[in-house]
Amino acid sequence: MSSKTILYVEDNELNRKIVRDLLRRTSYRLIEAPDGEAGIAAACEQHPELILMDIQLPKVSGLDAIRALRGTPETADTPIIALTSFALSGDDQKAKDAGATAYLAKPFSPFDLLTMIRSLAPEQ
Amino acid sequence: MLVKQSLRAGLITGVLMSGIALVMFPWWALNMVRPLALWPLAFVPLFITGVYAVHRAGRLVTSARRAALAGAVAGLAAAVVTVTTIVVLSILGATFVPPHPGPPLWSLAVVLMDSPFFVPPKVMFFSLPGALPFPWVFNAKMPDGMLISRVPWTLPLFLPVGTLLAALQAWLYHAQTKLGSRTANVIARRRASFQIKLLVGFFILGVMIFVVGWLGFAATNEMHVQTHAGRAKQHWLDHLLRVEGSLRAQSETVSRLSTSLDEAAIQEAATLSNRIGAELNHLRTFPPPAHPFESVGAIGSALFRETEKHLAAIQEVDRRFNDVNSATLRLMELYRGGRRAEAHALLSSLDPLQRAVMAPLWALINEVNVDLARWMGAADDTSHGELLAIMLLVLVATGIAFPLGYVFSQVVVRPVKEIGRGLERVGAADFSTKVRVENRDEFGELAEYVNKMSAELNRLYAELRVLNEDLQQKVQELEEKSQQLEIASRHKSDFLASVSHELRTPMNAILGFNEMILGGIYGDVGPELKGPLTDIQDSGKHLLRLINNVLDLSKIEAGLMELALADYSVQETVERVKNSLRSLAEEKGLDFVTAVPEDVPLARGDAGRITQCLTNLAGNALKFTRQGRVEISANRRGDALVYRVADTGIGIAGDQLATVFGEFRQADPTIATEFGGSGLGLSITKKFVEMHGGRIWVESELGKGSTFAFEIPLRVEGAKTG
Repeated sequence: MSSKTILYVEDNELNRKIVRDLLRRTSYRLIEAPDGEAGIAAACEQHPELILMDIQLPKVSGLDAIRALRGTPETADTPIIALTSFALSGDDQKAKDAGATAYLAKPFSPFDLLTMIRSLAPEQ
Repeated sequence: MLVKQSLRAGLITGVLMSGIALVMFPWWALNMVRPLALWPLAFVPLFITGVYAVHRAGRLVTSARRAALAGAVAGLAAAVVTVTTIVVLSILGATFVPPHPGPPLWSLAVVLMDSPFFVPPKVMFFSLPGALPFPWVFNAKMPDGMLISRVPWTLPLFLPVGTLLAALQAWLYHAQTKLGSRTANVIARRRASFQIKLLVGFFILGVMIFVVGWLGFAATNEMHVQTHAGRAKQHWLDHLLRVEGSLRAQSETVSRLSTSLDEAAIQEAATLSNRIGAELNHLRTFPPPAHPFESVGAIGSALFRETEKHLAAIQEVDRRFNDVNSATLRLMELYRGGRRAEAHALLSSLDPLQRAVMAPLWALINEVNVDLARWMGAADDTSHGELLAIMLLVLVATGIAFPLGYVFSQVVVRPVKEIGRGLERVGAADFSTKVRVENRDEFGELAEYVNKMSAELNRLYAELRVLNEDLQQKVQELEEKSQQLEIASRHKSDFLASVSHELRTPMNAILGFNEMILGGIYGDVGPELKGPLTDIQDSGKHLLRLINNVLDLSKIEAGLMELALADYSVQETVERVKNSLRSLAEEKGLDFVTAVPEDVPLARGDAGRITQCLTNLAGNALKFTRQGRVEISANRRGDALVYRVADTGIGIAGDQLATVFGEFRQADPTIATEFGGSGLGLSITKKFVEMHGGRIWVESELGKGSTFAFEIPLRVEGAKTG
């Protein structure tokens, strides 16, 4: 049984740790990237089953990264959850327009995120 | 330039003169009449040549000498044009007009003969040695049959005379304008109303007209009297000659009687004697009753003077003739009495008696003759003198009247022009204008008023300028301040945004980790820890809301807030708000209900923001209500949608209703201590409602609850930024 890979693109270490801790007891394998550029590279190399993309990222913004991933054949169909940084209207729409499958407004409840992950990429 | 302008002026007046001559002279010639004294009309342009030249040259005339030069040039030009025209007319006249007796009408000769200068035709022409090679109206045949051409002196003389005349005129005009200007100053400076000045001017003119007219009348009267005196003299001479003739006839009769004495002859002598007596008697009692009016006054006395002058002589003649008469009567008596010898003796004495009458009679006739001749000369002189005097007077009167008119026009025109220029300057916003006029009459007053107006405008303008400068400075200060404020405001917004972001990141971690601890991710949590951990979670969420509010407000203020318009379900939105706050209501034991009719259709707007607004309002309602109920409702009202949040809480005092929507406001500052809250919620709600193109209001009564309501369009198109 191969576990599913989730790529989390996030610049904040604490946030990465939350998701890391959250997924520790699940079968998901988590790979992390600290910025948009690294995120795109990781996605192309490792073909994750799901991508969590923070919108506010250094170097390449989350929205641009989503657009780039959607433009690449390998990742064109990979589900992407956009983590909109501000609970402001418009960001969710922008994320959807860029090609995100779903979005979750920060600050999010870790369990809500887990529910969303499981619905998009069910554990084996 | 001066010469050019003067030349033009002269050519124009010359052409004008020629034009008039062209109309007038052929008319005279063809009609063979001489219109009485119309000739000066053709020369009127010449009278203005000098003046026109000075006028035309304008400022080029800087001195009297230059004025004379301008006049001379113009006069010469006009004369050349006119002489040329006359020469052409003289040629044409000889070609087309049949010869006629009398002086040639085709020339200025007419002018001179009709004029009061009485130039005899003999000296009017000079003869050329031969005939001109073209038709010439003044050609004359000499006794020897040779044809010679004559030229009127006026033709060559016209050139120097016209030149001199125009030069003199120009010089006089220039001097007169200078003098006129000075005179105008003198009149203007008189402290009297202009009406009086004008009346005085007209009075002077009237006096001059009266004097000219009166002198004319006097001259005419004088000539009239003289005519009568001449008639009286002629009368005397006629009668005296008749007496002389009768005496001569009687003398002949007497000498015939001396040869043959017959009754018929004696009768004839007696008849002649009677006639002579009657004539003498008539002369002695002269003047005869002439015109009833003329028997008195100047004419009557003139006639009487004539009688008086010869009275002694005629009486002497009469006395002597009486002897002749009585001798004649005696002769008749003697003859009828048949005393022939005595009659013959008487006859011989009659001749010496007759001679005695003849001597004084002839002397008298001679005297009257001489007198008559003298009178004729004197009358001629007088009439010429009178005509000249009248002409001179007319010239002098017009010579005074024209400058007088000029002076008076200057008295009026100069101040009017000056005031006009002043007003023009005032109109062009030159308020330092000061109108200076010489007049001390109505025009002077007018100028003074203009000056006062100008000064007042100047004062007002200066005040206005100071005020304006002040205002501009204030505007600049305000602009600077507003810029500073803007910068400060932007800094504030930036600061708030970054602070909010910085706050949110750790909050995310706190809430995330706390929730995971509570959720047992890190192992089981004992029941004694669950309470405090839940408190941490609630407080964290509260803090997060506050941070969100601050962030929203800063975004709105920075103008960065935008609505995400989409279709949304009103029912779902209200339900979502209820669900998010249900736990709070349950905790406080409040009745929390919603009411949205089924028929409210899909609306268009920013569902997230409307949710936020309702959450804020309902959260407040739950916060400030200790017991009773909180209701969220939505109703369609035409094209609008009205959301209401009603509670049975503490309410708001009437005087604070107006301020609840301000930033950082709560109805009562002390409330914050009991209920908490930053006071940002309502102001953010108000801004979101306004961005939707709606309005928000509150109805409340202290202690009886509040109803917050907002109305937004059912379908919002084109949202406004914050």
